[in-house]
Amino acid sequence: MISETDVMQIIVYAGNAKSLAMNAIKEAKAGDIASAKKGLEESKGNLKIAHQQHTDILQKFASNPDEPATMFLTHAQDHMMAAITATDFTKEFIDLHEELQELRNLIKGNA
Amino acid sequence: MKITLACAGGMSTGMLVKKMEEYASSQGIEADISACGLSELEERVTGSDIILLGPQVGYQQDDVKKEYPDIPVLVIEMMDYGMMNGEKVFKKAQEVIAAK
Repeated sequence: MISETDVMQIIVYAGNAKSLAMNAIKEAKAGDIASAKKGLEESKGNLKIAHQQHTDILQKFASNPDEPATMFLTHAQDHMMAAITATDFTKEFIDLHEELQELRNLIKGNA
Repeated sequence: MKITLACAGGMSTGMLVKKMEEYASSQGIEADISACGLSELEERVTGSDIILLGPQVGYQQDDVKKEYPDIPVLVIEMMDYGMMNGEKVFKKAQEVIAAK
């Protein structure tokens, strides 16, 4: 039997991962690339826990075909997908901001 | 007292609302507690004593604060949220409202 709390764990960790990823973009935008990268790592750590929880639930489904699927579980999966996309894009955004910063510094040096 | 909870879609906070209502009524406290998605917050927030954000939208705390400077904005703690601890979240909201 899949409990409400099991499903909630996915939402909490995936949600936290997304929040951390979005914060990392803000930090990169403000010029703090080092803490942005740290935030992204933390975000990925949270996502990993959400993923593990999701895998555990899927295994319960595999071993018990009568396990009922709820709208709430679908909602949790939605959260997880959003978090995965956010962390993927965050890496790209941090890279972009880092490059922008280098360019800005180059321009300043030449001016 | 009016408490408004907001998260991405209002679904998981909706479950927490149930738990908070249960606690409030067990204590004989009259409270108007409701949940919504962040996009609906504008229509729902009027008259609220506090806005509680789900941890998954915690990164928007600053924006929400800016939008509603007169209402305290609190991000629900991850563990309280995960365990759906209505009592603890309600008590924290009460504290913040009392300190206002």
